[in-house]
Order: sequence, then structure tokens, then C-alpha cells
Amino acid sequence: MLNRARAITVSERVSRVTQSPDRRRKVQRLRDDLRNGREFAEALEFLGGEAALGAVSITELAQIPFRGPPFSEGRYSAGTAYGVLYTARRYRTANKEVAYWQRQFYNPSPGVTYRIRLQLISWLVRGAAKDVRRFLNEFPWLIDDDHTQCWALGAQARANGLVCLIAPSARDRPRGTTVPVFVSGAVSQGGYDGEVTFFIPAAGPVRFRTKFT
Amino acid sequence: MPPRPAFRQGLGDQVVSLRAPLARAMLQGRVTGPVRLIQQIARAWSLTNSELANLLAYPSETLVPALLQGRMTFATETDRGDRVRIMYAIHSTLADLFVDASDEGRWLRDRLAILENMSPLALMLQKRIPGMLGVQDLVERRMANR
Repeated sequence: MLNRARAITVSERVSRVTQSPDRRRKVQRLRDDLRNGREFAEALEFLGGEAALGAVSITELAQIPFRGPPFSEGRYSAGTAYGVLYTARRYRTANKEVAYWQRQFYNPSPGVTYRIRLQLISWLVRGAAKDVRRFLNEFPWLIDDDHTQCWALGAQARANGLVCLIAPSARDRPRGTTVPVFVSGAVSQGGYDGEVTFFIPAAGPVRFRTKFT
Repeated sequence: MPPRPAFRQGLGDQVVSLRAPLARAMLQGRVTGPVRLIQQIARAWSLTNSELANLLAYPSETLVPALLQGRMTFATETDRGDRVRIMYAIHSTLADLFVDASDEGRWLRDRLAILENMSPLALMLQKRIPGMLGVQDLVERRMANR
């Protein structure tokens, strides 16, 4: 299929909903908790210093999925050989993709709704890509929950030197487009676009609200 | 009068004896930064003394008040130090995830199908450090979607 797909060169902004591991925020949390005294310094040293408290920039945040092995398992990687930065063309698709997976992580008691806060981040992705969206009818496994064939597609795309695919979204049908990125250096100009709150009730659909900055 | 035990930091699990009000005043230890982190975790997760003792691999829950009040040394360069670092990483991520702070402690006690119907807290209590690392991976990679 990849051989039949149209080769393109992309230069566009893509979105991802994630928790920004902002080191400054974590240091500030520690300072708020312990105040800026001897105990704060001791705790920071104990935890491994500021560098141990996570990424400091959105650019660094984009590198995290490529650190491994092991990598995170996802639609286009089994997690054993390489990592993938999962992004989407539109923020709403990114929201829907994340919302779909939230239910398995939470099991609130009846009457309780958890509110979960994540950040909406975007980057500029540039480089060689292939658009596989038009093959969905022929290869419905592109949006199947069994990722086996998508793993093979991802491995082939990466071996062919593609920085990303333009692919159909399984969770934002029929128009949603995902952009799985295979090369860490292909994204730049990271930006913080807003905050997404997911509402997870004991039963029923997961809803979300986006607040742009 | 029995010899007064010395109060030291970072040298082992030593409980300062408190035999008299005067001794209490003189021997009151200092709550160090790492112990403050343990206090934060215990508060956020609403841990009982028994749960905290188990998570930190102390043989008895009766040691926990002494630890939290600074009367017992917390040795940082030990297996216990690693446990606290992992637990604080979990707490730090969860504290950013949950809009309502009280939900963090609730979530720790919810049974999750992806944890074979165990709660994250039960997994940490039962499987110790591997369980803690499993919860850390769940929280950081999957829930926080990093």
C-alpha cells in the first residue's frame, strides 16, 4: 500500500494533547509545598535536582516518545524497536483520540465525575510523508483496534525515510486526520495552545472542553 | 539515667527515645526535605500508617509517627529512598492531572480493569517496587500521554 500512496512534502502544524512535564511548574510546586528553605533544597537534591523533574521545553517534550527502548506501544509501533510521536491535523481530532482511551484509566464511583487536565501542544512538522487516507476502504485495518498491520506499515514508513504519515483517525470519523511522526528531529517550533479538560463520569461518554490561551 | 541516644540524619532508622518532657524538647528531631515529601504523599493519598509503613517497607506501622515527626532518621540512599522518589513522581504527575485535588486519593483506591481489577494502591502494596514502577508507567506514559 505504501508504494501506491502519494508522496508529499509536509510543512504544517500538528497538535497533541499531553501533560506538559514543565520542569519550572514542578519546581514551583515543590517550592509551594515546602517553602523556599532548607527542606526545599534537601528535597530537590534528594529527587535528583531540577533536571530530574522533567522536560523544560515543548521541544524537549517532543523527544520523549523517541526515548527507549522500551517505547510506548501505539497504532504504528509495537514499542520494541522505535517510538512514534502521535499528533493530529486538528486539535479536535487530538482531543477525540485521547478521550477514547481515558475510560480504561479511571473508574470513578457512581455519582463521581473526574476532571482531568491536559495541555494542547502543537509543533511544525516538516519533511517527506505519504498520505494513506484514501486506502481506508481497501484496508479497513487502518482504523482497526488490532494494530498488527499498522505496526508493519509504520515500520515500512520509517524504513523508507518518511518523517510521518497522513492517516485516517479511528476516533474522529470520517474526516479526522492523524499524523504519526517517526523522526524526532522533524518537529520544531513547539507551542502551547491551551488546556483540555476531560470529564470522566462513572458511566456514559467522556466529554472534553478546550480552553485556548 | 540511661545514656541519651544521639540524633543523626541519614544514618539509619533510629528512633529518638522520649522519656521525659525535657528530653522531648531537647531531642525533637528536624523534619527534613525528604520527610516533607513523604508527608505530602501521605496527605494526598490519605494513607493510613499501616499503608505508609508497607509502602516504605518498615516492619511496623508504629514507626510511622516517629518518621513523620522527625524523631526517626529517614535514610535517603536506600531502597526506601527509591520508593519515595517513585511515589513522589507518581504524586507529582497525578497532582497536575486531577483538577480536584481530592480525586487523586480516590483514584488510587479505584479498581482498574487494566491492573487486573486491582487498585493502583493495592498494586503498589502487593508488588512493592515493581508495582510502583508499573503505576508510574501507567500515570506518566499513558494517563499523561507523554
